[in-house]
Amino acid sequence: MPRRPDIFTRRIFLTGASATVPLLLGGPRAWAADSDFPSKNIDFIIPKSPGGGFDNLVRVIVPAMEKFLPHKVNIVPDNIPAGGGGKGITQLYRSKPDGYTIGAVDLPGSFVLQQRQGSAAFDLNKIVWLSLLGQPDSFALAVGANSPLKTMQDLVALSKRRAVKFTSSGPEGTAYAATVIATKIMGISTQMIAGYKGSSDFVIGAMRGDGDAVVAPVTTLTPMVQAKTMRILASFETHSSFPGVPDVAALGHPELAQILLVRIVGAPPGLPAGIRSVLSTALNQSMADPQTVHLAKNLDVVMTPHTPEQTETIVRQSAALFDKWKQYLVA
Amino acid sequence: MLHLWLSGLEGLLQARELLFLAAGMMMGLFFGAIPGLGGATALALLVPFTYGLDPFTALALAGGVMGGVPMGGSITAILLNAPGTAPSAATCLDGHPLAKQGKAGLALGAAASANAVGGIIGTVSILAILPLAKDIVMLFGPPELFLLAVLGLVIVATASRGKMLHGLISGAFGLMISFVGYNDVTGVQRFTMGIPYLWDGVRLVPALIGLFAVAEMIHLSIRGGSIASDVEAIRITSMSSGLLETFRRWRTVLRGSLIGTVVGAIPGVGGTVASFLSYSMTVQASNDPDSFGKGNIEGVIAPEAAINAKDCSCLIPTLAFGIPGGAEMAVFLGLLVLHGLQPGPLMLIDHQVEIYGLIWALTASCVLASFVGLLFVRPLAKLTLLDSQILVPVVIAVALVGSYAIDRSIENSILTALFGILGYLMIRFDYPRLTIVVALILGSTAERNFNQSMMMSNGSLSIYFMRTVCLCLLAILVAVLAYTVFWGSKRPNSGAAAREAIGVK
Amino acid sequence: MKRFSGDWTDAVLLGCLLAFTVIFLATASRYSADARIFPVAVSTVMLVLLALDFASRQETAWSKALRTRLNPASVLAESYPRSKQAAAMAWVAAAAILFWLAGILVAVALYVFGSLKFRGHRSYAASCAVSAGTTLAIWLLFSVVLKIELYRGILSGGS
Repeated sequence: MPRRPDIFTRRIFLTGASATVPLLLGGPRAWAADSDFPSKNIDFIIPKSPGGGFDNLVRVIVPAMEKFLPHKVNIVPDNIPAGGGGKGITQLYRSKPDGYTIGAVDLPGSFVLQQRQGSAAFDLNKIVWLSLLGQPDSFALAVGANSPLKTMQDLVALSKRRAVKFTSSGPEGTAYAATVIATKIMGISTQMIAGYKGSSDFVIGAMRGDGDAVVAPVTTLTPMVQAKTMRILASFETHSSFPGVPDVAALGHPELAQILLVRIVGAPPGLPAGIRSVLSTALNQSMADPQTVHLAKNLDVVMTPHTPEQTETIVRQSAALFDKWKQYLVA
Repeated sequence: MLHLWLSGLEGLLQARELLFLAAGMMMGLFFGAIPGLGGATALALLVPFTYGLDPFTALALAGGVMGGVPMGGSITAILLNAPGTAPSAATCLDGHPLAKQGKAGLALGAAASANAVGGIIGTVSILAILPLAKDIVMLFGPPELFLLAVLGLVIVATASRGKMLHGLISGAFGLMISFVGYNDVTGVQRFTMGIPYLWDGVRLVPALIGLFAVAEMIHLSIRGGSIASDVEAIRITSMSSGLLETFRRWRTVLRGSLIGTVVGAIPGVGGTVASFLSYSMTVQASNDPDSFGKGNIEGVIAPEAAINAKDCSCLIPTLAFGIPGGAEMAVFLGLLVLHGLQPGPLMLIDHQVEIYGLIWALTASCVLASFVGLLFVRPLAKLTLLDSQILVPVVIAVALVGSYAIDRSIENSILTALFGILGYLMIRFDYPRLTIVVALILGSTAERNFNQSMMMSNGSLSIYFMRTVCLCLLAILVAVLAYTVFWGSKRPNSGAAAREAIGVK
Repeated sequence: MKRFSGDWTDAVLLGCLLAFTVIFLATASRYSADARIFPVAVSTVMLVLLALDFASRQETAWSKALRTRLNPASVLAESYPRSKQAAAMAWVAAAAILFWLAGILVAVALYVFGSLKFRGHRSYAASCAVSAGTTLAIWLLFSVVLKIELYRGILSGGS
């Protein structure tokens, strides 16, 4: 498997393990079986409704991924948005580990789901991870362009008078988790207005004035800032991509940079190593494909290949983040 | 701005774009006709094919599909009481009774022209409203959406002439079912009885297919014969008079189109509400409300006009903010983003030519689909002559499979069968299906927005009295209730029906 | 012409609705405050509506007033033999169960054939022809053109 140059910009992930698991671990017999793979269509579970950013990303990758599989089969995107995504992930978890079912998951929101539904439904720690779907996303805190809050200091001052209202997705969403964790780190008293459906509804809610502020991924906020409909008060990146906006160092809370939206592809527990490497190679190669890169840029996502081991490290870091704050996330 | 409109049209009038438009339209017609498939499925299938196309052509294709779907849905709704798409279920209410009377041609002709006219009015409206798009989306927050949902429910509930109580029971039942599943605001699973399928609640489209298509087939199998009971009375030639009906009933068309435009422009409400609301309001405004549900041509024109108008106007929240009004818009949104057309205020400034091209494509497809659809009317209307013994099992089989195909869950088919039985019981015991459908859609919307409003106001109901749009909506709500309670009951018809009911043994 | 009377089927229907509402209300009361407001409110209203329906079927003067104001519907004039109605509903239930057990293609073939032969009393040839035609059309449309994997049924290991 060719090693690709890693284009990490975040120090945290450079500490990931980089040893490659030997391909021939299973021995010659297992290898022979793997060479038939895949021989029929592969189901790619997406635990979100069609049309959202997550869904688009998967659909961009799928045709390219098909090109890099050893045999010609279709990879069929399968949207299972029920239960905030819980049903889709459960289905992924319980499928046969034969490589014919894979799925995309977003973290750390799915850890919240897991907690709520109990590990009887699924256990993300047991899922076999293949690769990330693009770079993890940082978050930022924003207000509507018409908001009276002009700086973080204004927000902090407001929070001393009353709880600041943040609009958010449902309690199982990563945005919700990000909001809760970030406000706890910064010591802002918060009231959530949750339950907006869709990936940008809750940001529009803040724009409209339903709530005072919102914590959302930088990729979601960037076009809105360009259109001057939202104003960023603080960015949770190590280096702020918005001019004049404080980053984590300026805020004095370096921990905020650990809050990341991770989009990740995995397979059911027990997947043989040979099949795992076929799939993750195809996935990584598809992310380097020029057409994919071009389309992904339209979605504001940077495609970076990751080895399964690097992926696992990122999962563990996301899990650690969730563990630290879970008392606030799962009521 | 005129030169932009013209540029958009000019861009469309190239051979390649027109070809894609036509192809999209045919696909839309076909997918719209089969229950369970629909615009969302068609678009989702096409998305990979558009990767190599330039944005304008991709939009021509998408516009073609979206314009063709409603007509496809109308055809099966009228002929078989099997709505191909959820909004077409409203057309079933009077369209299918017309088919049963042998007037399928009349109904289809009216549907076609209402489609076309509604689409055109919708286009004109969207061109006028588009500059205001941002303001519209900003006006409707959770408190407004809650009141809108309540208003929708009240309008529909009070339209059940002659069976108000059953309408209310039916509506309450629909509301109860709408609460099943995962609650977005609290993250709590409710009433799921441990069945994972129900986590997403009772799905609308399988339920609709059951309530209308399967229920009607059950009814037909008991009744025997064919859909059109009087073979000699089949008048396919009445299609042309059907086409003219729309122009004769211009008030209904206008009302329907306006309702469709308004409802479509409100983010997150959806087309099914538009068509049912248009139907209900036409019933309210009519001089002969009891004739609805039995083959009143206005009952076909009203929802059809609304559906096509809303197809145009639901582009507004999608384009302006990326808020899809339904599954079809969600997939369309994905298509836009993939082609570098990021929805938002910038899109409305930087890509105006593409947007106008899309709007033209949508309109053209709408009108074209009406005519092409009519070409199929003669052969398809023969379906109403088929004996029920053959028709019933085939339609039920297709309905169950179509239901499964929505997202490959066999539980959908079981749900459809259950609702088919329920739907038949509603026919048998005279409960209106109109109210249960709207309640099923609006119930969870109402609850979610109410909960969010309470979060915004810290539990105080005063929020509904402090916002301008809310006050307007409350005023309309009071007006509708007052009208129904005082004026409605004074009408001679309702009294006569009641007297008749009591007086007979 | 509508005939206003209640026979035992009306009573059964009301009873079922009542049972459903009561169970619904009981389940709803166990949820947290935010999650139960609406379900509890709606089911309470439903109980009132059902009570009104029941009241309006009596013969008192008050019932007559209810009937005038709220116009509860009455039994449809066209009445079919109950056995026929039950049979029709049973066939649909059977179709659903067949779909679930045997998978789509097998179920469609069996259901259409069975319906035509045993309900419609058509010849074997006709029943087979329509059944085969329908199954083929469904297979072509969904499996081939749309590439949707058709459910294979519990009995053959579908999920």
